[in-house]
Amino acid sequence: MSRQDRKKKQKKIAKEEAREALRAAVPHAQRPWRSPVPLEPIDEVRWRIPKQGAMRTHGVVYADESLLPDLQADASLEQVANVATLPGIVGPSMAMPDIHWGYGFPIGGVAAFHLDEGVVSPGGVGYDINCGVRLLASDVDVEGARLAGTSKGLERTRKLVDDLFEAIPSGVGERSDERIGGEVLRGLLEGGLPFARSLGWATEHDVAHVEERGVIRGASADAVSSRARMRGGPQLGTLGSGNHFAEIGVVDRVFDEDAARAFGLRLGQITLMIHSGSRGLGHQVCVDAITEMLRAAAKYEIPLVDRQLCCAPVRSAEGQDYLAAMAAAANFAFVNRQLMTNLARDVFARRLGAELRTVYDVCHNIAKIEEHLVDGASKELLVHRKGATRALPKDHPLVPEAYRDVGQPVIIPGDMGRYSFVLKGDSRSAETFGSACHGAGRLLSRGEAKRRFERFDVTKVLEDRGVIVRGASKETIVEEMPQAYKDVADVVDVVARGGIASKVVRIRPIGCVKG
Amino acid sequence: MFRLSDHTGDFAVEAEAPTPEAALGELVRALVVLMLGEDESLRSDVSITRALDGFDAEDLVVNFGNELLFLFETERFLPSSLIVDRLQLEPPHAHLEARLFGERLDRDRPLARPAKAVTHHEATFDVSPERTRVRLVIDL
Repeated sequence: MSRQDRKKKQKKIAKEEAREALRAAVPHAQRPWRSPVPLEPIDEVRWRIPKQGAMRTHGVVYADESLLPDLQADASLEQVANVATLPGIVGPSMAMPDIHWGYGFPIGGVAAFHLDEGVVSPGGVGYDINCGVRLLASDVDVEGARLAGTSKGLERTRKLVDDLFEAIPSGVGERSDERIGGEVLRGLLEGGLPFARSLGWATEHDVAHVEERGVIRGASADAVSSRARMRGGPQLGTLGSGNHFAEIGVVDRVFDEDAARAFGLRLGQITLMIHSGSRGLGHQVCVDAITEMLRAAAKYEIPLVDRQLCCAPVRSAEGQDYLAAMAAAANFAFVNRQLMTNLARDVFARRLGAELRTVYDVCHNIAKIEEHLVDGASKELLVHRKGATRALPKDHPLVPEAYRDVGQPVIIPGDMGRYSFVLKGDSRSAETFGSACHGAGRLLSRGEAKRRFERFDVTKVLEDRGVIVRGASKETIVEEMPQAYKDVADVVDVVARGGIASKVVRIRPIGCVKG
Repeated sequence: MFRLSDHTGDFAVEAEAPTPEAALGELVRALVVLMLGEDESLRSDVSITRALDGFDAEDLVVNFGNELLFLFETERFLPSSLIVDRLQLEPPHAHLEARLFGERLDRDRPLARPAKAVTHHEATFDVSPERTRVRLVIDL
C-alpha cells in the first residue's frame, strides 16, 4: 500500500471513529433546565437564570417586567441555559432585551470563552456571518430634499426608493452585475475593507468608521470551501432576503446633542441604513463548519444539549479553521455593505444631489478575540455575539478617533413602520463584554404575522403612515410588519437603564427596500 | 402530507408519510411551498442526481435540506419530486442516493420566502413501521 493510500485509509478510519463517538456523545447530553426556566430578579433590568444541571455558569437576561412575558413564551430562555453548558465559558451566558428563539444560541445571545479552555461554536455566530448594519448620514435635510409632508414629497420619496430598489439587487440567490475574479475575491476575503479601498471601492473615511476597520484578523481564503465561493461569490454587493433592508430615514429626535454632533447627526437629517451580511458565502461557511464541528465535538468529548451548539476548542485545528473561514466571511460582509453603499451613493447623488457619509458599521453575528476585564484583569477572550452589537464606551482605543470622547455608535434598527435608534456605548457595557442589543427582536413568528396581516395591503398601510416600501417578496413584507416586532423603544430603554448604552438620536423611516 | 409550522424568527417544516422515502418527497414539497408559496407549480424537466452522507438519519436529512438550498442558490434549481435509489438510515453511516426532478427557475421569477439554511436545532427523522415523521427548522 502506498503512503498516500495509507494516509487515506487512516483518514477514513479516523472519520468513522469520530462518527461512532458522535453517536455516543450526542444522546448522552442532558438538558440543564427544567421547564419553565426559573428567573430571579437582580435589579429592574437584569434577571438571573440560576446555574443548574449541566450549566457551568448562570445566565443573565436583560429585560424589564414589560418584556418578560414575551421572552418566556418561547424556548429562548432554555437556549440561554443551554449555552451555559459549553466548556470554558467566562462569566454568565447572556441575553440582550431583544432576545428571541433561535437555533442553538438564542438570537440576542452573548457568550465569552477562554482561549485555552474554551470553545468556538458556529451556532454562536449563525449562518449569516457578520450580518450587520451600516448607518450613512446625508448632507441634506428632509425639508430641503422635499421628501415628506405633501403628496409631492411622498412621490419624491417613492422615486428615491424605486431607484434604490433598482440599483441594489435583493432576494436570496440574487447575483450582482459586478463580476470579480478569483484573486480579487481572495484579497477581499483576507483583506476586507482596506483591500476594497486599495481597489478604489471605499474611502479612508469609510474604513475608519467600520468595526475593526472592516477587517477581522486571521482570515484565510483557503479556509473557505469552493462550495461557499461558488454559492456566495457572485452575490457580492447584494442585499439578500428575510429581514435585510436598505432604509431611508429622518432624524426626528435628538437625546444627546454633543454625541449627535460628534456622530455628524442632526434633527431633520436624511439617513440611510443598510442591513445585510455575508450572503450565501457566509451561509455555506457555517453549513460546512457545522458538519466539521459535530465531528469535533465527538472527538473532544464535548456533550451537546443541542446539535446546533456543536463546537471545538478554540485552539484546536477545527476551531482555528472555522475562525479563519468565519473571519473571511465577515470580511466579505464588510465589503458587501460597502458596495451597496456605493450603489446608494450614486442614487442619492443623482436623485437628491446629496452625499452619504459613513457614520458607523457594526457586526451583529460574529465571534471575535477581544480584550475584556475579568476579575479586574485584562484578558483576551473569544466573544460570540449572535444578534448583538458591540458597544464600547468612550476612551476605548477601538472606538474611532472622531468618536473617542463620546463612545462607539451603537446602531439599533427597529421595524419599518416606527423608528430606529443610535446609541453610544457606556461604561457598564463592560458587564456584557462590550455588547448591546441589535434590534427590536421578533414578537410574532412569521407564520403568525402572515395569518394576522396577509388580508391587508401592507404596502398601502405603511404608505398611509408615510413609509414607502418596496420588496422582492410580498410574503416577506407581510412577515416583517411592524407589529411582528417588539417596540424597539422598549428594548433600547432597557439597554439605557442598564448603563450599557445611552440614546443619542431616533430615526423615523420614510422609505424602505426589503430583501 | 406536510405543513409549515411556527418558529419565532424562522419556519419549521414538518413532513409525514408511510415510508422514509415518501417522507423525503413530502419534505421536498414542503420546501418548495416555503420558498415559492402555496399556489406555485414547478416543471420536472431537469434531473439532478445526488449522493449524501450523514452520521445518522437526522444528520442526513439536514444535509439533504442544505443540499437543496445549495442547488437553488448556485443553479436556481428547485425539485418538485424525487426518486430515492438508496437510503440507509442506520448510524453511523446514513446514506442517501436520489434523483431530483424539477426546474431551473428564471431569475425574475419571484420567491415567496427565501431560505438560508437548514439547521440541526430540534431536527427529527422518526421512522416507525407505519409512519415516518421529519421536522426541520429553517433559517430564513
